[in-house]
Amino acid sequence: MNGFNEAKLLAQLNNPLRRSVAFGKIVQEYQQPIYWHIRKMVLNHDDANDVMQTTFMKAWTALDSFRGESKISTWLFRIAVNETITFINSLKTRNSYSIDNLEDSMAQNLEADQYFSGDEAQLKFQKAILTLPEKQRLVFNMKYFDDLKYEEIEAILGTSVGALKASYHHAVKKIEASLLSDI
Amino acid sequence: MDKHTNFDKTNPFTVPEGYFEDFAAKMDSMTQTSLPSLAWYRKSKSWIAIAAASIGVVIGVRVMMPGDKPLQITSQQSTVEESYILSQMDESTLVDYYCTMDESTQNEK
Repeated sequence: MNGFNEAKLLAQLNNPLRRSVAFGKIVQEYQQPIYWHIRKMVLNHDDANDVMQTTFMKAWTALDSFRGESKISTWLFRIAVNETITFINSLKTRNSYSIDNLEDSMAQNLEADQYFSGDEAQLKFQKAILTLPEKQRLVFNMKYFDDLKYEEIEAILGTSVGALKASYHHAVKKIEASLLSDI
Repeated sequence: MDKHTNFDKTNPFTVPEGYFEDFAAKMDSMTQTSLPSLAWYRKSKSWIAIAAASIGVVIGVRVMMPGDKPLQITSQQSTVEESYILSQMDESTLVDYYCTMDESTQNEK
């Protein structure tokens, strides 16, 4: 996060005349980590785009309630996680999917996705991740792909570090088992 | 716990060209149009709530005590009727009337 002064930015956010500019800097700084987090959960680019837009608009409208008690990134990730889960739940409701059906459907869509350039091994890896329960998949993605520390994930999800470590460990075991069963 | 390092960490997902630049520009335009109303709304929210609560209390009192107004009308009507009756009576009947009124009031007490 070079050249990104969070304290200075918070001061600007409190100034109505500078608020829009400051928020623009936040978007510039965090849009990529937030996008990739959402994308790894919903897989499809258009869906990820929709969820990210909702995330930043919610952050914008809730700026007055953000008092800087957590880092801006933690706050944004928290909104993104909530919006992503809401989106996935709405997919289940809208299409009357069972959990397994939704994951099968997401895996099939991934194969046809023009914005997925992975080889066969990467496709298998993504499908193996999709077999995880939603919370485990969330923890695995945050730790493995987003490179977040357990303490950061704890602040975002409100789950203890011990429980997160256990969840991640189980996720790794399940992915390994899933990949080995395909050989 | 390092078994996960065997997994492929390459990002297999891509985005349309210029996506992040476009997204930032789109967010810029969206936030610039929605700022003033948000600030006004947030600051005045508590005053709106107080005003709404006060109106609610006034309406509530009116609804809970519907007897006030009709009671006034009835007593006004009684006064008009009473004045008419009294104007039609002679003095002795009037004295009898008031004596009867006093007695009935004392009996009620």
